[in-house]
Amino acid sequence: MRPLDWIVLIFTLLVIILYGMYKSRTSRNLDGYFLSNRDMPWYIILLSIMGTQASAITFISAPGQAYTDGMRFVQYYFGLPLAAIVICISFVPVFHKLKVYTAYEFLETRFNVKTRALTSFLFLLQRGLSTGISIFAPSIILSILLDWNIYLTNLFMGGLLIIYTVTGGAKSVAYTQQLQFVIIMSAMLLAGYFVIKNLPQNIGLKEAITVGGKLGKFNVITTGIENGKFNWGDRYNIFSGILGSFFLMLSYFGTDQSQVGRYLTAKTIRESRLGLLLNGIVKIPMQFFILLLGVLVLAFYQFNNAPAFFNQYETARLENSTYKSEFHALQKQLSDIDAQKQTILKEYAQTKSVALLTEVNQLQKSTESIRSSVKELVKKNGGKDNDTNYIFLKFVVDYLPTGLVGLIIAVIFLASWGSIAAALNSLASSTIVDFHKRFFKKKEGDEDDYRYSKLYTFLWGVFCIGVAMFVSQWGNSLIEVVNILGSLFYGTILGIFLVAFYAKKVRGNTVFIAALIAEIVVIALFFLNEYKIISLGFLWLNAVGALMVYFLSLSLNAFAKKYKVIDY
Amino acid sequence: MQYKESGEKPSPFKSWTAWYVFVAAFLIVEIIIFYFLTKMFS
Repeated sequence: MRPLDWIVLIFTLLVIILYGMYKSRTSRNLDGYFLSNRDMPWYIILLSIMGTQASAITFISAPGQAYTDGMRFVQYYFGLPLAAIVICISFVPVFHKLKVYTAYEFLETRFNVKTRALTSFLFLLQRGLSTGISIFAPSIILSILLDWNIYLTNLFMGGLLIIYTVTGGAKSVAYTQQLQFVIIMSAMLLAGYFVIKNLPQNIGLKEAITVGGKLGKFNVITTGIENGKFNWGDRYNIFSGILGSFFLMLSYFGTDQSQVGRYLTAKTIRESRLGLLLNGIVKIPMQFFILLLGVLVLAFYQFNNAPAFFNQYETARLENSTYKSEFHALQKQLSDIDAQKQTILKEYAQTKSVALLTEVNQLQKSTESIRSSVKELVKKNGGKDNDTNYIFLKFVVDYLPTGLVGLIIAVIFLASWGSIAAALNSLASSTIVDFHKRFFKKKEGDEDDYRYSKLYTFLWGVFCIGVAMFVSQWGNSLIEVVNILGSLFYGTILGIFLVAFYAKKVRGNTVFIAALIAEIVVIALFFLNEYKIISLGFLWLNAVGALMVYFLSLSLNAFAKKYKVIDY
Repeated sequence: MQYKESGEKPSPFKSWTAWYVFVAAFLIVEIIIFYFLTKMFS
């Protein structure tokens, strides 16, 4: 990074922190601290929801994902608008009318205290660990790419936002998310502009998309049907996107306190609903354009030499290993193929003959085969063979103008802060409302509540940074474990809420038992898939968990009622 | 669990049902456009 990049980075981060502190004046009680006195308008709710959902990885990984796997990842969000409708109809009015602080508080009203405590505990466990990963994941990328110390990067990534999150609570979180989002989207648009500007003469947006499309990366809609059969193991297709993702999004927006806490700050039910519905409208096009950036970067690298592997830390390790000569041979092959591609593409730029792109596609297959061989070498050398997260940033650092590089690095911080701040706020609200006040100190004054709320926010911040430091020390494999935790529990948690809303006769003990059984089945299915005994994409686990809790609860309830075996 | 809502105006539509239909229709239109874009560029 050059001096101007540093100036842009530091200035942007300082603006956010100062703005967060400026907006931190709020009533010194639970309502003020966790719900901004319930006075937020719909547009703040919308940006807050978007800022919470989009982490740094959303902006870094998505273009890399499109570069390697194409744009079909956008289908992952197809369930979101449908889930938003269901939440607006069933969840939002109940949460508002009961004036709850957390989604789990409602479960005690509907079922019993143990169902509330279990669900809130599962949330704290999952969200606490995944927030630590939200700090570590972008930090490791920045530390590798810019040669920063990983522990200091973790500290900056997770530490600075604590200043305004602790002092201002939900209000600071929402207002900073608003500003962060404007900066993030402006920077991504600028990045898009410069990708196109860096393309050769006579090659514009349409031609770049055509190149990407002919290389098979403009696969926005896929069916998951192979040889006449539906592939249940295929992660992203229109069916898993609509059905599987519907359950995931329903769970995330309807039962995850980090999101519920955002729309509970709304002035009225109307403001909450508008925020959720507009997110359902805006999110898919936004994700489409972020993925499109990846296709454009791929097109750019057809006209320019692409690195054999985008994680330079691993390539440097290869250079100093016994695999050095093999690596060089593969690099040589790659640059020969690049030269051939560039000759054909020069002709394409003149003639715009799409037939020429068939040859480029053949050559790209060779490129991908060589990249696979390089990945094998990285793996044999004891490294991490997935470089998806590095593709976009490597392009940014190598080709974008000074100043914009600093801004894109700032985007990574801001996107992380948006989701981490909301997570810390929700972790603190669940801890104080579902446990501290419920079980220990029931009759504290407003001032005590306020003090404890700040303390818990701070402690969760320290915990999450601790997780990030721990992961830094023990390696990347933990990330996958923690990411899986989410999809293992979301379905069951959603199932409990679905029973609460749509199965009025089912009582607490029944849903509690059904949830435990469903959770065991979900974990079993996950391991069967891991050991390749069955093939099931992870999005389906959400649907299985939720539907199992729902139908098991109904069956158990009928059984219990008939035989009077449990207190239904 | 149904709650009566009072004094809400879900502008620009006259009712929330219209809003929900609009959001669902928007998704369908998006999918159709994506489908044709996929066909066009691949």
